[in-house]
Amino acid sequence: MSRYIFRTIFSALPTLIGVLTCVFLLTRLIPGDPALLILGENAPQEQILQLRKDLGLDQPIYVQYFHYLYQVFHGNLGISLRTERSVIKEIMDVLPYTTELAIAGIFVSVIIGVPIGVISANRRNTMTDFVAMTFAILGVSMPVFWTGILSTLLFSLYLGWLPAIGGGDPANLIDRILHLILPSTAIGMAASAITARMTRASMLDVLHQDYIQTARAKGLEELKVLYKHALRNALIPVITVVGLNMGRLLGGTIVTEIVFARPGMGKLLVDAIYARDYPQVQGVVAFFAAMVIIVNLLVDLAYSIADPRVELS
Amino acid sequence: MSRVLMRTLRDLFLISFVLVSFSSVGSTENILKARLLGNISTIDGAKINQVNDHVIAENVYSHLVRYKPGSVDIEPDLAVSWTISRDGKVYTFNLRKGVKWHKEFGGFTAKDVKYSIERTLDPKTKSPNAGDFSLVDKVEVIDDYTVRISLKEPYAPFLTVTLPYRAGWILNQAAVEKFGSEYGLNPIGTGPFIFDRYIPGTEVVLSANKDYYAGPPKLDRIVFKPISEETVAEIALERGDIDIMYFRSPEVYQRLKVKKGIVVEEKTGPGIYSLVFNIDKKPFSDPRVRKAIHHAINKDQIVKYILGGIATKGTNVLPPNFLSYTEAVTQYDYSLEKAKGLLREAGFGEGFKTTLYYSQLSPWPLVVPVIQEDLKKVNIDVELKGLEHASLMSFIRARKHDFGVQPMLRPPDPDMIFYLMFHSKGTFNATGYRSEDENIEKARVEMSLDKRKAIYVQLQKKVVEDSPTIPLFYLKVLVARKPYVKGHPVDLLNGFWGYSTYIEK
Repeated sequence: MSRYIFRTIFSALPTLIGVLTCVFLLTRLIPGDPALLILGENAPQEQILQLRKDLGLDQPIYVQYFHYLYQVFHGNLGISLRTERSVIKEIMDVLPYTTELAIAGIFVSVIIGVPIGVISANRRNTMTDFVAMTFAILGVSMPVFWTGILSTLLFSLYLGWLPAIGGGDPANLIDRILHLILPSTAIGMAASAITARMTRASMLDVLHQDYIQTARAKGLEELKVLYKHALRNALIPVITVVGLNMGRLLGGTIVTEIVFARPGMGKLLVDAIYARDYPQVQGVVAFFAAMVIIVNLLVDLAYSIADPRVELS
Repeated sequence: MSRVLMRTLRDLFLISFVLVSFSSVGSTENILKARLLGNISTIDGAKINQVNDHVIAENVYSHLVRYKPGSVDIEPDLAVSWTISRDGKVYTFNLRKGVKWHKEFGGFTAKDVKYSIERTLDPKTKSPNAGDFSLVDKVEVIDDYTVRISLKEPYAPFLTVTLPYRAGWILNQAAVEKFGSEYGLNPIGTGPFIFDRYIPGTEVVLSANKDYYAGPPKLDRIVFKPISEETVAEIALERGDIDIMYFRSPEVYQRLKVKKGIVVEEKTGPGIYSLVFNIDKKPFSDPRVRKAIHHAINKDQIVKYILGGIATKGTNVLPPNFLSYTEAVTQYDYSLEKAKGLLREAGFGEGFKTTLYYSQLSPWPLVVPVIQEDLKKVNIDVELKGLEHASLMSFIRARKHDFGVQPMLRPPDPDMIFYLMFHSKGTFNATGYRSEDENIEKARVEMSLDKRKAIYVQLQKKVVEDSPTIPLFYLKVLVARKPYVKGHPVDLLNGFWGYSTYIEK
């Protein structure tokens, strides 16, 4: 097991380096000079050139690149150009909010998507199936921006049931959960569509198996047949999908955090891009990449636990 | 799921619902919840160059002289009186006694002024405001309550722009040194509010400075919440999650103006929003072409229908509330005939093709398609290219465009417009205009108010006549608030004056 973990992390390194390289190059391709943005447009040219030198921006790009990689692999993500605080510190301040949003989003996608998939599979080709799958398509088509604002209007403004903005009082767990309901639903809806379709397909596969027919013939309650026997085996591909959804969900946090005025890494990233805060942009993207890699690793492990037939090799 | 579990979850939900609904009741403190347009970066006075930081800093720090809240006139702040030498180069300030720094950092004295200015000038500080003090020769502490600032050459706007704006915040040396790299989130000032708490991405809390020299503010606390999206802020205001907000969107303005229970206030700001020509590039090097385009644009239509009340028509390169503003400049009425006539004269009767570069920051994306349509009518084929705001500003600054847009929001002194936009050395010169350098330089060193005004009147006439830019509109500063928020002056310069504001429920 531990060998497997180690090997997976090791093989994820090229992916991580690839992501870091891409973001390094992309940020430098956007027009706009960080030194100019820090010092303001009224600053004298010599001062701007000096700051570029201090930030290492006057070095050839490959020098900056290798310096950056060296720093990252020593755990140093650099200093934010805007705030002059450590990039890691800036990220740590808001990481819990993004993490809880992503997890809540996955949770929502599972509790909505899985039952819909099960019901759809069980009532295949009926009206229920059709409605459920249409709902799934709608979920993935409606932009988070739109569903977010609409749900805020309904549940926050008109009904007053839920808060509209913010992440909640950090010390108050109930408050944080209440602040999570709308954003996680907005972000989980799209993911739930994929989960629903995957569950449905997987369930259809399983429901045709002999042991299911046997269970029904033995007189077992339908609910037990579906959930205790069929779903358990159908869940394996679904777990995989959850892992794949994570990347999409983390990307979705960017828009969600803006729509719900929530603190988080998504908002941090957007602000950093506007300010051409290269170290911050690189740091946040590196974190996102690492999170996706870790989640997929956990998914692989869960996979091997859920299905004894699967051997970690 | 088991019955017990279901019941427990239901009870939990109900309890929390009740708790949250009652959480806002019961406080006897006067607390204002205000919108910030985004997250803060640093409240180190020497390093601020964005709006959100400015809002906080303006309540935490003081200046030697400051803008009267809601106005562009100046009044004493930490300096109670001052004299200016005859040659305009030496300013001697008599400082207020008994002013205390926040959190027991002692009493304010002249050495704090010297420290603040020298620190801003120090290249190690990397201050965006260093350029504002580039004319400072030396700062001398005469005694604890007298400080003398000597300039290398006279600079008329020193008192009306440099000191009351960002460069002029006064900082405390012991505090800066104590907090070091963390000072940006632990600012210490002499202002009416103390920087109390910062939860990243969630709120900035300021609490009343009970020892403020003019008496404690009416509010006990201000809670600033960062909300970048305008519609979201609108919902938050309606819900009461915030009590007051500054905003920009014309759609939000339309809706809030007619909403019961919300008060909208507006005031023309010191900003001028223009189209700019690169006068070194054909065909814009010919003034007839520029004037033709000026006549071809229907500004009234833009202001009325596109901007829907959030702006007023631009007729002069100076906004109306600036010193020396005059209406006696060339008027470019909307006239397709005049436009076509001038184009024919210049040899472009058949029209030409060009590209208009614009910023994606509101309201430009709404305005430029109308410009495109207007110019089509005189056979000018305009391709629109939108750039992200900071990218556009770099692009324009480097004069890579032929035809572009330029928003300009600076403290209200004519030198800010004329020097920065129309002097050959101006950092915001997007046109290449350079024929009035001498007069612009004369005006900035002229200490007699009347003589200065006269030079600027001539400059306005000349620049509007030459038309290197087309002033399109002046944006209003927009504030929406609940009726129980009182005493808040609409701040024209990205600030937020919390001192006189209070809640009366």
